Formats: sequence, C-alpha cells, structure tokens
Amino acid sequence: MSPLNLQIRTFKRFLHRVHKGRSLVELNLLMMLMADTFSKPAGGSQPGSGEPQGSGWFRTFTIAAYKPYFDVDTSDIIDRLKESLFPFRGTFTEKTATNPDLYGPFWICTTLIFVAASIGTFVTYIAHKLKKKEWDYDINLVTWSAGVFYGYVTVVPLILYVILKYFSAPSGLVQLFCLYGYSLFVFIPALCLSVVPLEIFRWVIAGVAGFMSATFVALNLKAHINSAGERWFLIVTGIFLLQLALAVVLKLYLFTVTV
Amino acid sequence: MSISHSDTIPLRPSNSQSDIDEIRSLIDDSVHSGPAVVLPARHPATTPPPSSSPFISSNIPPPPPVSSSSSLQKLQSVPAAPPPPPPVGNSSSIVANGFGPPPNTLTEPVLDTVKRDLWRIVSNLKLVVFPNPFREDPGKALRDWDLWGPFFFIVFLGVALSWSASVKKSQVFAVAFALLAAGAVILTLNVLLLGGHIIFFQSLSLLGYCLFPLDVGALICMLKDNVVAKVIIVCLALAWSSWAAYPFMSSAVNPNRKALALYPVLLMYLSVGFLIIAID
Repeated sequence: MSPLNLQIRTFKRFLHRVHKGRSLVELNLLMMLMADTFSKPAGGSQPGSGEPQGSGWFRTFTIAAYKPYFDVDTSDIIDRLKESLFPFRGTFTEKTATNPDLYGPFWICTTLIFVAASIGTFVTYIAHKLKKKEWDYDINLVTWSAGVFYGYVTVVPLILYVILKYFSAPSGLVQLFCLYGYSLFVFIPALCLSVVPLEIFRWVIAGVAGFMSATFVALNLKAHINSAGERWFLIVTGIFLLQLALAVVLKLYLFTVTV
Repeated sequence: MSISHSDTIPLRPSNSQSDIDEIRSLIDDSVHSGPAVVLPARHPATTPPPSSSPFISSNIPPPPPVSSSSSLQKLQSVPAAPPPPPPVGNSSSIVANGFGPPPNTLTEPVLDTVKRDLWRIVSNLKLVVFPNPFREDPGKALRDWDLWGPFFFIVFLGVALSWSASVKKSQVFAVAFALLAAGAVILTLNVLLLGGHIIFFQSLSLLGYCLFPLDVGALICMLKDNVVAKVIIVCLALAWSSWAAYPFMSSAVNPNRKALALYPVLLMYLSVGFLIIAID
C-alpha cells in the first residue's frame, strides 16, 4: 500500500471520529493534518525537489545551466588575467581546461567597449579643441564598438570550434570562448596608452598589442591542435592574422581623427 | 454510510481519488451538520476582495485583525488549494480568502493611490540612498521594493541626457535607457550566476534607486556648462551611487567573490557618468 493510501485511510478513520464528536478542535487538527500531507511530496509519487528539473532544450534558458561557468573566485580571475599578459608561456589552456569561466570574457569585452568608446571620444575631443573646432559627441562609437567586440568574441570561437571539429582535434566551446575573451585583455592598457597624440606611437602600441594577443591565442591553440596533423599550421596562422587584423581595425576606426 | 462508534472501517479496495471525494463529503457533513461554530467565509458588510494575490505580502499592508475567524478561514482555504478535483458546489463557502478582508484599493480615489506610491518611493529612497550607518543589517535590502521609483529615475536620466545632447537626441535617449535597463538586469544575473543570493526584482529595484545621485548630477550638469565643474560633480555623484550600492551587492555573494560582483556595478555607473560628462 502506498504511503498516500495509508495516510488517506488514517484520515478516514479520524474523520469518522470527528464527524461523530463534531468538535471544532478536532476539525482544526484534521485540516492541519490534511494540509500537511497534501502539500508534502508523498514518497516517490512526486519527483524529488533537489534535482534540477530539465526538459531538454528548456535548460539553456535557466540560470542553473550556466552556473558552472561562473564558479571562480577573485583570485582565480586575477591569475588568469596575469597569465594572458605573458603570451609566450602557452600554459593558459592547461590551467583553464577543467574550469573554464565565462565571467572573464564577458566582462573584459564590456570593459573594452567602455574604454574604447571613452578613449575614442576623448581623443576626438582633444583634437577638435586643439584646433578650436566644433565638436559633437558621437554616440555611434558605443554601439559600433559593442558590435565589434561582442561579435568577435562570439563568432570567431564558434567558427574555430567547427573547423577544429572538422579536423578532428576538438576543443570545448567554452574553453575557446575563455581563450578569446582573455586574449582581448591586453587591448585595455593599449587603448589607454593610445591617448598620446603621436601617430607613430599609436601605431607601435597597436602593433605590439595585436602581436601579443595573437601570439597568446596561437601558442595556446598550437599546444592543443598539434595532434591534428598536417593542417595545424594553417589554422594557427589564420588565427594569428585575424587577431592582428582586429588590432589594426581598432586603431583605424578609433584613432583616425579628421579635423 | 453508517457511522459506528468503533474505530475501524471495513477496508475495501479503492483508489485515492474516491478516497479524496469521500473525505470531502465527510468534511461537508461535519461542517454543515455541526453547530454554528464555523463562521461564514466573509463578513457580510465587506465586499469581496479584488484579485490581488495574497501571496505578494510585501506590497499589501497587513489585513485588519478579524480575530479567530480569519485563522479558521486560513485553515479552511488550504485544503481547497491542492489540485485535482474541482471543488464540489456546496463546499464553496469554505473556499475563502484566508487572510481576512484586505483593504479595498480598487475603489479608493486615484489621488490616494498616487500619494501612497509616491510616499513609498520617497521612503525607499531614504532607505537606500541615505543609508543609516548604524542600522542593524546594512546588507538587508528593501522590504517594500517597487519598480516605479527606478523607472522614474531611468527615464529622467535618459531625458536629461537627451536634452543636453545637441545632435541625435533620440539615439542618445535610446542608448542611455538601454544601457541602464539592460545593465541592471545583467548585474543581477551576474550576482545570481556567481552563486549569490538575491531576489531578482528586489535587486533591480535597488540598483534603480541607487541611480538617484547620478540623476541629481545630470540635472546640475544640464544647468552648468563648465567641463571641469562637470567632471567634479559627476565624480561626486558616482562616488555616492557606488557607496549606496556597495553594502547590498557585497553582502549578496560569497566574500571570495565580492570584487567580482562589485566591479560591474562600478563599471556601469562609470559609463553612465562618462555619458553625462561627454554629452554637452
């Protein structure tokens, strides 16, 4: 006999007593007991509440599905940031293989958008003021840089993931997002330094930052896809050039001042 | 069905559905045949309560004390709540609003409603933006949170920025509004993902109220036009906003991750401050 049936039988007996006695107290007690039973999950008749409910594709829309990717402490994040500044070590992927995080990539991109928009605005402002010309704030800088950064960090790892799967050297998608996100960190100090109005200096900064970032991505990936065989060199150079291209595009759009 | 004095009932094979029906009919018999110990579901003088759900208790002031009848109604309404069978007709008088007759806010004058909401906004503002350093729990958020206040502040900031912009006014408003609204949502999600414990809308409400100093700063910047003065005012407003938001955000997460939860808040307010300075 299931637990629910047992409880119901107990109730019926109790009820008959109550009906006979017609006592208010017993009626109250009965109500409380009934409420208690009907609200508690009776044995195995209802699904356990501790387990995450998931029905297939719904899970991508719950917060709990993404929690494992944010399981980092402040010290972890700082370590990873420092790691991204030394591109020639090539140990980033090992360190983040078991615990890739999405916090870093997302907030580095967001910070980059803000820094790019503000530095770009500031540069054009100074240039106009120096020549005593009229200046208007260009809100398009914000939207444009948002599109570039978020788009780059989302689309390129996706394409890379597909390519790597094709060459049977699969890497986890989240690890790729993590790698690309942290590779953009070096652009933050680079953008800050680009405030200096010397054109040559700006090109040097852009070049160095682009090179560091591209090497970071390339070396970390190389360790991973060495096993892929003959095509790895192509992939690695492709990625390298792409990152350099990003740096050049940034420099051209943000710091080309036509006054 | 004959009721005997003995405790035992002859067992017969039955399923739980018929058991439930039988129990329900027994309850009805007990209630209706008993003496008038069960008070009627509603006091005849008050009208039936409007639809407001009794479970969002924070926004409804406590019902007037209706002594024992309300507690009985509470108990009676609970067995009507669990799902399967629709309530039998003659038991409908038991299914009652278990919290006693609530105040009737549907028929009050509009001015009363508006005054009540405004008063709530003001009191929430005082709690959040001018926090008392000696209160018992600095991390305890608004109990009576609402979303009107944040809405006003966000719209006001958007309008102020759009007013001071000389070109592309509507685009400026759109970017400001989107930044603030999406920013509040993303900040809350960020805390939730880091394993913190907050209530989603309460956090939205709090982040909205913390915008008030920036609103004041934007208003002053609209009036004065000197760049250096603007920078100083905005820095002060920013510091005030961050100080207001700090205790709430930092107490919501694990201390190891405090900086991770606070940095985005600072970033958002910084970007808003930058927009205020830049748009002249």
